[in-house]
Amino acid sequence: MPFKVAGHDCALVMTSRLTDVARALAPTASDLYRLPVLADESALELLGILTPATVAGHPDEARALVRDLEGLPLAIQVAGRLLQNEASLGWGVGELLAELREGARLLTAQAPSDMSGAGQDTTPTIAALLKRSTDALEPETRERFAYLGMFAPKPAAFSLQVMAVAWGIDDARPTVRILVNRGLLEPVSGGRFQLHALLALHARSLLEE
Amino acid sequence: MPQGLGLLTAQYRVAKYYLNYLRSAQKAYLQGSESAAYALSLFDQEREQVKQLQAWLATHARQDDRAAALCSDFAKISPDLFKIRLLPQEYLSWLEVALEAARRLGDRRAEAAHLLDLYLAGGPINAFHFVIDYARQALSIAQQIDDQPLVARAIYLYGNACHMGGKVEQAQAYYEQSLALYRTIGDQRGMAEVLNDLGGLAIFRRDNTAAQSYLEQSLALYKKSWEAGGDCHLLP
Repeated sequence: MPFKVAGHDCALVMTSRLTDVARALAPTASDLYRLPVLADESALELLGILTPATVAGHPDEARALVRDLEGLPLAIQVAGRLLQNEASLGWGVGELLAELREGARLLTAQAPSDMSGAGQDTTPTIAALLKRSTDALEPETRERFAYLGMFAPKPAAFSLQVMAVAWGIDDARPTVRILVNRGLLEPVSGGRFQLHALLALHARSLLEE
Repeated sequence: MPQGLGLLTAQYRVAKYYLNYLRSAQKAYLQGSESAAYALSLFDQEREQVKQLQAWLATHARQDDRAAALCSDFAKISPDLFKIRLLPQEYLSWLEVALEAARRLGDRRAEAAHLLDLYLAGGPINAFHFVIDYARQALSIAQQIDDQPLVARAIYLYGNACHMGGKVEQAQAYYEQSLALYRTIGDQRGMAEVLNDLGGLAIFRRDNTAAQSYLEQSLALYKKSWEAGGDCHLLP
């Protein structure tokens, strides 16, 4: 009954990362839909929207990158924005791919107990990407991003005002603009912002470094 | 990365921000009708952050006076919203941690206030003999520190505990004592609350004339208090 919130011709979609929860909520097996990660073509298309020149100029390397990122939309979003932001420095997809592979190798080489934050919840490549993305921030911006790790991770949603309070500044907008542009923070409704669960873990791991 | 004092200072800034946020939400809730719905939406929007912060304060309250003070304040800042939106056991655990923090700081006023809230919140889920002890301890502290509004409230709630325990005559005596004290202080809302319960006792005794008189006085005082910019209250 609590879920009967709509009228005729309306449907309710519930999402969960937990299969057991989805099974418990779905009336029949056919009501379950397993949402896969993006297929290579779709992932490449998304990367192409975020950084068109990179994909057009280096199609094979771009394809290898989205494969390494396993089609995870968050990771493609972060990688695309990173590439677009740093394209002017002549830093391209080949270098990023090499860095991520090296970062992933280093993370894989660590003992599991040494892996913190997103490294425990995702692949070493994606953890390396998140680290690479925040390493590219100015130290002050990186520190502010890390401070977002103090908030509850699920959902890590908060107002502009509380971010300014956490950062001890009057106007959070310039920093928020940078983080949104880098795909590290997402605007949601009501003037609020949300941090993806993996990024929230990554921010927390930066606090613990 | 931001460790040590910088991070700790940021946590305290955020804690104070949420304390003010919850204070505003509670104030809006007490204005009733649309403001109450708005207050609930304010709380719901930040529920997870509020919980996270309370857990952080509870963890640090044992070693840090500033965290202990905030932890104590936190539990009493938005009692009506906490009662509605938190699980009873969850709210009780917040109050227990707040009580411990108030005791650690030697803040007797806050200690008595938390004990009274523990009585109110614990009543529906704990054994009567257990929760009445909270009211008894609160009354004793309020009298020791001679805080008249707190004494009036503690006597009223102790009377309420007697009422719930079936000790009707004792309850009547405590209610009347509390009413007299509230009258002396000039707390109309407190008077309205006690008169409301005196009305309930009169109904129990089947004394309808007395019940009507108590409840009419209570209603008039609630209206007066509300018109003066105070909060609203639903009569039974």
